[in-house]
Parts: sequence; structure tokens; C-alpha cells
Amino acid sequence: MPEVHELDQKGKEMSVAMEKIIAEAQKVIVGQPIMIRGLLMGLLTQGHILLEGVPGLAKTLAVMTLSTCIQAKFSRIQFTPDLLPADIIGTNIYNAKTGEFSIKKGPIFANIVLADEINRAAAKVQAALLEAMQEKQVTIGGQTFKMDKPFLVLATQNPIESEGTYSLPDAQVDRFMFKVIIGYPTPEDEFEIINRFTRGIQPKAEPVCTPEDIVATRDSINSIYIDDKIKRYIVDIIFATRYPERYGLKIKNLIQYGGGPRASIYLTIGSKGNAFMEGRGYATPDDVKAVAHDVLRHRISVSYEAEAEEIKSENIIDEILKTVKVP
Amino acid sequence: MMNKIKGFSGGNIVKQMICRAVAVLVFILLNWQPVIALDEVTFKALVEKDKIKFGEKIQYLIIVNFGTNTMPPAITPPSFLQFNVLAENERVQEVGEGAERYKIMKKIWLLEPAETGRLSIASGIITYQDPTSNLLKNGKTDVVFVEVEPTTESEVAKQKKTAAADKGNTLNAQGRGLPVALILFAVVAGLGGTAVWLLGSRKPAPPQINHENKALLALNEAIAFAEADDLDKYYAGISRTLLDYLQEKFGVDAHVLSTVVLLEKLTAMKIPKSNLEGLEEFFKVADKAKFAGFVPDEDKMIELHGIVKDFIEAGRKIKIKPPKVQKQREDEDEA
Repeated sequence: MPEVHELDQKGKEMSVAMEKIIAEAQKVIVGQPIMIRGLLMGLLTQGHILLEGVPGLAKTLAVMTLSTCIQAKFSRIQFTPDLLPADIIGTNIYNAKTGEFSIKKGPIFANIVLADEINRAAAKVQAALLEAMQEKQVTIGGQTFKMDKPFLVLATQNPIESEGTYSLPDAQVDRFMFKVIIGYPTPEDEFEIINRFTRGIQPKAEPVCTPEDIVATRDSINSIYIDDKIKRYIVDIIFATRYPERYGLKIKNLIQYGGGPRASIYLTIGSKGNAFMEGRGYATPDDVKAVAHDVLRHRISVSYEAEAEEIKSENIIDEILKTVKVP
Repeated sequence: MMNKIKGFSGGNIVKQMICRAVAVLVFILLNWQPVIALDEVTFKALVEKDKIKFGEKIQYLIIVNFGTNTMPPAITPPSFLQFNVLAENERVQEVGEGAERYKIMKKIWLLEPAETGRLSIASGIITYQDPTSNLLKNGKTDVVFVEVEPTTESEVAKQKKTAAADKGNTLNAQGRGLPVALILFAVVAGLGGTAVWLLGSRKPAPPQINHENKALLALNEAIAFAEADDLDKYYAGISRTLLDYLQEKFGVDAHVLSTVVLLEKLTAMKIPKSNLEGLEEFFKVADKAKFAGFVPDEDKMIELHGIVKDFIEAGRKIKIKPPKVQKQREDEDEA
């Protein structure tokens, strides 16, 4: 059994640093608390994030601001149909003067990589990026290079333009820990956006911590206690996505397939991250619920019947969370 | 010699022994008194009279006998649906001597019947500490019946008037001839029959469940786990009591809601914030105990128990029509 008081105390101390990052980011970003929180969670739990939202919702600005706050190396890759894997990971370049090959590392070698409009590049480029995400290492010309720490990939997708895009296969989408949906700002936030960005002075965020601090924080998150009851609750949720009838849910015909074991793993890690953000040293069912949508929305494939009835994976997750008994 | 001995001592000794045994038995029987054993708690409910007249007052008693070394029992009164409670009183007295000392708790209610007929008083619930296991247990008293006869002046006058009218009608009928009498008889019989049918078909109102009393009782039961140092079960018990209460009283699906969602729902139901603050604290600690093995000290345990008790007590003042959760779900399923 863990020393709950110690964990709680540690959690509170560390969450203060996170609050500082959020406060600094909000100097630049107006509103979008879900996006900022999601980005931080990904950073702290070593999970990559798929951001989905219409253009102009400050996705790129948020990622840049976050890297400024943590003094991380940031790179942005605009995915296009003619992009090649070597453009991302790097290549061997022949030097005519010396007559030798030298390795030129690609933009993937950074702490935070923004893969803008990932679905615009061909499948082999997507695969190259996703492999690097999974393995946390890249091989160029027979030489293997470890990725920097922390290493976080934030990929964006535009949901309204599907022409000329290569949608990510489900197996590859599964590698993203969270899929965060970014919505439009509220009227108050929109008003503030006008005020802040029309004065000719670009608001700037200041560094709050270092990448080493983030790596140290990750260790604290790993030590957050998660009880077997919570783990069983997570298993129940995932099983309800696969066999809903076992939980008294009449939604079997709406689900093509449910979450895999990776969903269980990410739901557990995400719950720990949420507990940490709340300044707690242990996870509760509320932590599971808080991250369930972000973890599961891209892992539940809805059937044609559901699509015809305009039922989305969000609705299915809602129903599952409502029905599966909380420990 | 042997015969002598046999004849003399054998027969007399047996006789003497039998005589002594009988004497002892007679002595015991003569001196026998009903002794309340200290290893059990007994209780009963009674009324001072089985039959009273309407308007007359009656005393209803619950008597509990318990040992001096056990904690005093708690009496949850029955719902006096057919009576008005005018006053109530409780007293405890110690009786007996030495090791046979015990206590008698008497709780008395002064009642006035609200209607006539065969009225009933439902069971009272006694929560007591079992002297052998030291666990808290619940017992129910028997249902008590009282025959209430109508005696008010107006009712008597009405009865007399009806009788006089019947008499007059009969006399008139005799004067006008048999057909009129028959018609009147048919009318009176018809009216009487209708009245009897109406009274017979009137269903008694379903008994109202007092959610607070039920929850408080369950809360008391949970104490047994705390006393047995089974804190996990204690929290589970309290939590279950609270969730059941929230579900039954407020109609929220408390068992499948997490703390945050539950509090959001209760806030939306306009439950006073002051009530919910305590509840929030309770859930916080209960979560910590349940999911992180946190063991609160005794003071904290008492505080938490108090929080839940206060919330339930305060719930008596909150009148909320519970939404039909089941129906809503069925509708959703159909949709």
C-alpha cells in the first residue's frame, strides 16, 4: 500500500508547477482549457496526441507556446502529398568535397513535433512518423538514433476537408494516446481574442521550467497509486466497448469493434496523469472518466448503422460510462 | 448382615434423596422470579387499551429490556399514519440487584385516533447492541391494532337522524300502501348498497416510505464494521447507505455515478450548497480510503459519519419529486 500522504504532498507540489505552465500559456492562448490540459497530459504521460479541429483554433500557436514554456526544442512539419519519409526522419547526404556520407537529421529530432495535417501525406510517410513515435528511435543509413527526451508528437487533422487526404488507418490512429477535439471559443473568449490580437503587440509566454523538469515529473506520475478496483473498472469499460451486451447495453449493433489492450494501458496512464493534475497521489474513478473520451473516441469504430443514425463514438462512450458500475 | 444393611440403608437413602430433591424443586419453584438474562435484549410494543372511542386518547409504549453493560438501544418510532401524535416521552430505569441488574427503557407516545375502525400501528425498529457478539442489530416490534368506535355527538346525532328518517319513511309507506313502501325500500337499499360498495372499493393509501429513517438505520448498521475494525466495509457500508438514500430520495443513479458527476447532479437539483460541502468532503476522504488504502483516525471517522448523518437529517426538509429514472432509461433504450 502506498504512502498516500507522501504521494498527495508530492502531487500537490508538482501540480503547482503545472498550474504555472497553464497560467503562462494562457497569456497567449485565450480559452481552450481542454486543449492546453490535453497537451500537458500528453507531455507528462509520454503519450502522443491527435488534435482535431477546424482551422484557426490556435492549434499551432498552443503547441509553440507550450514548447516556449518548457524551453523545449520545437519543430513543425507541414504534411503534403509529395512529402517523403526522409524529409521527416533525415537522410544520408554525400559530401562531394570530402567524399563521405554524413547524416542529416530530420525535423523529427525535437522535443515537441507538430505534424500539421497528418492526413495530407501518403501512407509511407505517416508510417515513418508513427514508427518513430512508437519505437522512440530512428534508423538512418544503418545508424540508430534515440529520440530526445521528452519526445511528444502532436498531429493535427482537419475534419472538414477530406478531398486529397489519406485518412489514417485505425491501427495507426491507435498509437495516439489521446484524440483531443478542439471546439470553437466561447463568445467571451472570442471577444478577448479580438482585444489581445489586434493591438499590434504579439503576446509572448516566458519559460517556466526545463525539459529535465518534465522528465522528472514523469517519474512522479509513474509512482501515482492506482488501485485494483480502478484497474477492474477500466477493464470493465474497455470490455463494454467490445461486448456491450454483457453490461446490459443494447448498443452491440452500433459498434464495429471496440478498444484494444492499448486502450486499457492508456486509460490507466491517463487516469494517473489526471490524478496528478488534480494534485492527488492516487487515482479515482473520476480520473478514469475524465480521460475516457480522449482515450476512447478514436478507438471505437462505429458501424454503418450507427453512422446512418448519426451516432458517434462519443455517444457510445457516454452510454458506457453511464452504465458501467463505478467501484 | 448384608440384608440388614441392604434393607435399612438402601431403601431409606433413596427415599431421603428423592424427598430432598423434591424439596429443592419446590423451593426453586416457589422462589422463581422472571429474571432478565443479561445476555439478551428483549422488547415489545403495546397499547393500554384494545378498544377506545373516537376522540379518546391512548398511550402506545415500546419497552426494551437491556443489560447494564451494553449501550442504550435506539428506538425508531413507527409511522403513526392513522393517529395524531400529541406527546412523547422516554425514560430509563435500572432494576434488579447484583449481577442481575438490567435496564428498562420505556418510550411512550400519547396518540389520538385520526379515524374510526380497526386502526393499526406499524412496527417500531429497535437498534441494539447484541451482548454476546457486541454487534449492532435491528429488531422489529409487532404491529399493534386498536378498535376505534365512532362516538362524536354529530355522528351520534346523524345516526339518530338516519334512524328517525328510516322510521318515518316506513310509517309513510305503510300509510300509502305497499308499492310506495317497496319503491322507498328499493331506493334506500340501493343507496346503502352503493355506499357499501364505495367504502369496500376504497383502497388504503400505500404506506409512505421515510427515506431518512431507513437511511439512518442502515448508517447505524455500518457502525458494526467500524467497531470490528473492518474500515473497508465500514466505508463501503456508509457509502452504500448514502448512495441508496440519494437514489431513493433524489432519483439520481448514484451507484453508477462517480463523485464529481454525482455532486454536479445534486447541485443541479438545487440542494443547498451548505449541505453539499460536507458531502464533498466525505466523498473525498471515502475515495481516498477506498482507492488508496487511507485509514482515517477515529476522530475523522466520527466526523465523516456525522457528515452523512447531518446530510440525511437535513434531507427531511428537502422536498423533491424524484424523476422516473427507470422510465427514462426504458424510453432511451426504445429510442
